[in-house]
Amino acid sequence: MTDIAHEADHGIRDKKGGTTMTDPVVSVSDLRITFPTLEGRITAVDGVCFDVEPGGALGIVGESGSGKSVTSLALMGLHRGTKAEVTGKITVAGTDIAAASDRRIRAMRGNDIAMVFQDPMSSLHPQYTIGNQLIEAYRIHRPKASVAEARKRAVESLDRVGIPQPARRINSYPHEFSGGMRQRVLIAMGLMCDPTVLLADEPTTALDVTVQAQILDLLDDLRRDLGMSLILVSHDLAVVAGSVDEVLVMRKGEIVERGDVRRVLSTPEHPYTQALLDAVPRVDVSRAQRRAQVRADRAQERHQGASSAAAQPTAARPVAPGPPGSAEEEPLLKVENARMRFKVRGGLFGRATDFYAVDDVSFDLYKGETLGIVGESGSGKSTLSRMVTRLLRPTEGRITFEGHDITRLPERRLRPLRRDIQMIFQNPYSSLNPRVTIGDSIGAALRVQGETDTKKIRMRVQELLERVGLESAHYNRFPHAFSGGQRQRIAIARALILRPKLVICDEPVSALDVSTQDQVLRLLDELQDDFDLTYIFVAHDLAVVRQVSDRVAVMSKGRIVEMSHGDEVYENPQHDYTRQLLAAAPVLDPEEARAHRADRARLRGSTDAHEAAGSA
Amino acid sequence: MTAPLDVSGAAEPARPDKGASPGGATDRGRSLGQIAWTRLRQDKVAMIGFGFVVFMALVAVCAPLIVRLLGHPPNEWHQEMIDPVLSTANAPWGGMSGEFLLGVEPVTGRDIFSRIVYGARISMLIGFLATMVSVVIGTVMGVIAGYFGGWVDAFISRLMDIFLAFPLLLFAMALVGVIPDAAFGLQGNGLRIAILVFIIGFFNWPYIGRIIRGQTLSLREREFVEAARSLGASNFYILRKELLPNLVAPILVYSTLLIPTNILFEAALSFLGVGVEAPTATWGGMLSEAVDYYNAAPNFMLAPGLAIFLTVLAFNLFGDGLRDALDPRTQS
Repeated sequence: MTDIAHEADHGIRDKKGGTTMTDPVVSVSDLRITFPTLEGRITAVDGVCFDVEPGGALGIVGESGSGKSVTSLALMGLHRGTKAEVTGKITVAGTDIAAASDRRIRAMRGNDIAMVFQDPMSSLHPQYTIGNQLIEAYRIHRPKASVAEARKRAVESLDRVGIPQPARRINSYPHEFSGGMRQRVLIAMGLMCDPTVLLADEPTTALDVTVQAQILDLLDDLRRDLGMSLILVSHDLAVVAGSVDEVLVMRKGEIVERGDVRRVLSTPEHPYTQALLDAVPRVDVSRAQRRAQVRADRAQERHQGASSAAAQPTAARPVAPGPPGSAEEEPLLKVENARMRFKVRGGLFGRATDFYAVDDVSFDLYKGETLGIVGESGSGKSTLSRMVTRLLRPTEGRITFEGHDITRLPERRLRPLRRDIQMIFQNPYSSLNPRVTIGDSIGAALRVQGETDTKKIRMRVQELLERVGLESAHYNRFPHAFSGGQRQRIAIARALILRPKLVICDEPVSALDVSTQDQVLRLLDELQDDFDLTYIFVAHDLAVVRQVSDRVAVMSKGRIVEMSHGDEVYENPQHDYTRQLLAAAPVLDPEEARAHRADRARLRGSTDAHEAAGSA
Repeated sequence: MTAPLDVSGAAEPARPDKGASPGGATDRGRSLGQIAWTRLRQDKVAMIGFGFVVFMALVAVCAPLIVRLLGHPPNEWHQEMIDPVLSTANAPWGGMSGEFLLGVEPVTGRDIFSRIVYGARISMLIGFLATMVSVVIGTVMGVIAGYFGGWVDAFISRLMDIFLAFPLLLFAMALVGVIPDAAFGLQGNGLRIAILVFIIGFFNWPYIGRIIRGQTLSLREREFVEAARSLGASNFYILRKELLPNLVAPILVYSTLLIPTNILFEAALSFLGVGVEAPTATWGGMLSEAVDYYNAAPNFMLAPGLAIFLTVLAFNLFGDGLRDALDPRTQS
């Protein structure tokens, strides 16, 4: 596969050679990075080469563990002084990273190449104003510059990244900014010294969809206006699609494919790239299409797998239950005017003010359907799901499950009901107890519900482990031995062991890589067929929600702003907020991505004008 | 199901169970404890500390045997070894010889080696028992405060503040001064040891209590606790099955760091004369007696001093190593 990569590489270089004659600003050849571990040395990056032209944009894409972050740290010379062993040659703006002195490297960082990290919440110092931090970044490299000069520069830089009222906000502390704004501040910091290369490592992974779109737009603008080179590292092909010219696909430390972004996304040569592309959830694929495909794949698999097995009747179930409400059947779950109030401490003496995380939400849920709930962080979607599972007790309103009012049932009376309503949590790393074997974790549900026969518990757990795609021999392993996707399978098994009727999936795939996401979604789909489940599927990703939901509710600021049959929300959105979300969703086609970018710019322009008119 | 991209190799390859247990073929995964042990074994300094701790514990347990083989009974006087004029040993080096390994005490001529060996019993016993008392009270209170929060937390936290404000040393001296000869069915040294354990253990629990409370506060917010609640688990079940296994590491680390503190405290009390009564050998008591002869018989002071120093150091080295091994953040 390296042969293919090299050929492709040469092809591009030849093509480029005709148009650009300049030296690459970043050049990496035969990079190899190994780390010592208890089990011996592991190779994180193995023989990676690439060049970035001045003003060019390169995307590095791969799953977690592919070596993309290790590579980007190497560009900054951040492996120096660690136990990592780096061989090969890296040149950044004329500096040889391996040979340069520490002093030279420090001068290079920030000046020639600036880095934007993944988590804007932890990358800024909480005790200094952002102004202090920006000024410091400037004066480290320009010791002769006066504070006033640096300050002027900082204001310009903040203005450049779209922070409103920069002259005033420069005196604010990081906690006074939202996540997206903090990421802008970090980018502004990167821009302070006019770097020739901006290196962004998963800059939007911690952000909401609309904010992600804004940050990507900003990076794209900056690159064009300032003539910088951009290296964008991400696990999501759709994120890099609209922002880079050339893309590298990495797997297990090696480059499996490289080339022009249009070519790679439209006609990938390596099967791995193809698989990655197939895994990206698409907003334009509807639930019905996807289910049909999943079922077809399954049927084919069974056909190939066991010809002796009897034909399975699962496909007999209707593809979509159809818009509910037509039948007079009783809804499985009825939520009426639910509100959840939290007391928020504010001020010096902690005077509490009320804050409604969920405000006047009502919906019905019918047996066998999936209700998708989309919203950004802070929209109240997680609070709502915890109210339905009664992990939280609603402040007002009524929740009825199978005709029983469960709004205020005490914990003891809830216990039998817990069998029927289960939840799959967002973060498979924190939802499994690290000190308990997975078999015990899954079996705990049975034990809690009064089952005492250890043999029976073990048998049922092992059965279910196999059903979710793991091995029954994994029973005695601890969670740390599993990857993120496998952990989420374990969490799913735990939720299903009691044979619940309703499963609430709270962002079940948002912590996973794109490729693993797809597998987990497929599994959830299959299980819905096999176990006759009803889902509430909570997520911030529109595309994911569309593929699994019969109906979709869009939440914003604690309220449901729009709810209807899934395809309708996507094809004919009624609410402004829904439209914004849709415009922000990343798409795979680079041309379309650019078109969306233009749309967003227009949408922003109109809302700005609107606000200006409103304030006038 | 097809899993083209699932990197199952991320988990260790499945090993077939050669033992073939009747409960079905399962392979045992390496627990975090086993991983910690592997890491601990590579930490030479911690292992030296651990070795010395084990050695000291063995010495304490086998004290009568060791003394029979290598010394004289700890309370046996050997005035034939004492110079009647100077009242120190009549042999060079404080009387150190093959017969008296660490020399003899001035005035009485008791075997210092035997007394150090027997002193280890008192130090280790009080150190361990007092630590256990602190750990048990501290863990229970800390978990309850951290898990239930609200007024329970407020109450327990204030209680901790009160305990920490107690002038412990003065209290210990006062209490030991007034104890009767027999109480609670105990008498003599048994009673004294019990009281020392109580005082040291009972007044030190807030330190560990605070640590456990903090850990519980952060664990309580983890999703696996919510998951257990959504399965219908009771509070007791969650405390026992979900939280406690995660608290083992901090409890273990803190215990190994608390034992040497308690050993020092016991030594200090003995030094002040309010510990275990003479003639029972204790390291602190020996130090206190040696003060008068530090010039004439330096070995009398050095022996218990070194014993305390090395034991405390060993526990601390081991405790630090244990913390590094158990804490995934210090992974190198």
